[in-house]
Amino acid sequence: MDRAELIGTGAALAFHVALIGALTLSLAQVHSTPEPPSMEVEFVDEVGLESTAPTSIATPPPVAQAPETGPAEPNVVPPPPTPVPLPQPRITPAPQRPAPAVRPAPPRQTKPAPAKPAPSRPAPRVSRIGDDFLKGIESDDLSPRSGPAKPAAPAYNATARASIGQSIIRQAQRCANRQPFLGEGANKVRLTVNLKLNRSGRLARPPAILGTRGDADDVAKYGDLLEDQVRRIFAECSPFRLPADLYDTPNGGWNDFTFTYRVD
Amino acid sequence: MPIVEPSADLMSPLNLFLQADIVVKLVMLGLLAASVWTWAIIFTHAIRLKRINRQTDSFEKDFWAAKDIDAFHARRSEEKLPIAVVMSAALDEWRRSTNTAIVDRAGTRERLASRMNAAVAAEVDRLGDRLNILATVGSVAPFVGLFGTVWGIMRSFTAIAGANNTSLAVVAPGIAEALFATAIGLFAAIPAVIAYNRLTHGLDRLEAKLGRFSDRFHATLSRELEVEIATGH
Repeated sequence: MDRAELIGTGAALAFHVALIGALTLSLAQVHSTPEPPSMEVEFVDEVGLESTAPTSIATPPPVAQAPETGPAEPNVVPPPPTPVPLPQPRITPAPQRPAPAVRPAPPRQTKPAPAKPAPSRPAPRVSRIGDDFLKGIESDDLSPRSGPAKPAAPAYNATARASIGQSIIRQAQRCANRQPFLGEGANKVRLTVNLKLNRSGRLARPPAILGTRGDADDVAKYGDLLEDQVRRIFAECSPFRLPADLYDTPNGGWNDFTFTYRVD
Repeated sequence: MPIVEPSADLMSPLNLFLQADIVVKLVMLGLLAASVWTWAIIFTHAIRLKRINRQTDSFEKDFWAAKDIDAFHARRSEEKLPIAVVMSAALDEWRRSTNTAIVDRAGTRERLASRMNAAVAAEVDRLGDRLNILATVGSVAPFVGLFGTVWGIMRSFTAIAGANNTSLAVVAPGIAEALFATAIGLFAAIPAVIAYNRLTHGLDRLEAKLGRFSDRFHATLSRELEVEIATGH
């Protein structure tokens, strides 16, 4: 092994060690893609057992039922009535004028009246649907169907809470955008915010932070700053326009509203 | 639900190596060794060829400028240069052939030529030693890496079957590790092929240079032979 070989082997080893070291340290780090814009999904524990949708149909619609068709009428042609024996004209030629009653009548009556329908033709079926089969439809028991449904009172349910939360966050976004960015990871901390609101939408009390969730390091690093930011955000954007009829309902309302917030 | 955080150094070669299957590990180690060896050969030969080329040029210049070939030989024959070896072989043959009472000119010429050709071939052979390793690594390393990759991917798919889960998170790490084997194979092969072509070219040029020198020296000696016979030396 001469000098060139020693140098070459040493250089090759050093080159590989340096390359692996560089790759291990930082060069090949895969930067995780930034979190996509958040879509808040809230898991709601309370689920209404009853549907709160307004019930517009009070009574079930009447069962549509076709009238039963009965068995066809027996295809029996009634025997043509036997010609009634003509009443014998009174022959008693009692008075002078016998004619008017006797003369025109007898020849006509010899023609039997029912002989007109052809005896071979079957008798037409007679449906049981009478002309009056539509009669019941206009009856009173169906009136709720056509009558105007009574509008249901808005319910303060999970959907309403979610939309109110979204509405508040949307209206606060303007103020959130003004806040300085605290650093990488600050936008991953979720804070539980409680707002006490007046009927006008103003804050009745400064916003309260009930808790923080997220990576422990991020919470330790940004927790207090984020709480301050959140208080500022909701104080600055304070008059929130929210549906007035949900301010105070038997099920609760947005007068005391708690939601999860993330400074973006 | 646990959130799987991708670790930042997922691409670190050390991690990829440590997580791999034993077969893939062996493939990776072999390829890494091949890469180190390849680069050792590349560096060694590049340094050596460059030095030899430079020294050969200066030696040749000095040689043709020298007044007395015997004195020059005595002074420079200690050098391990190919051109010096060729010169020594020629002078050695010259002395042996002209030392006898009757000098066979044609035979001497033939012997000189064959000795010098043999010397040139031997020197080029010595210099080209191990270049075949570069060729071998260049052609085989991608296949070895591919073997590791195929093995690793097979293992990943078996893991899918075992986990009853086709999500990418189950397969992706295994496939990444497996592909790393091909990456190392290519990493070893590409420089090997390039260096093989380049070093072979450099060696060919050196051989041509030595051939030109030996032809010229042969002509000189041949002319000398005629002069010596004519003067009856």
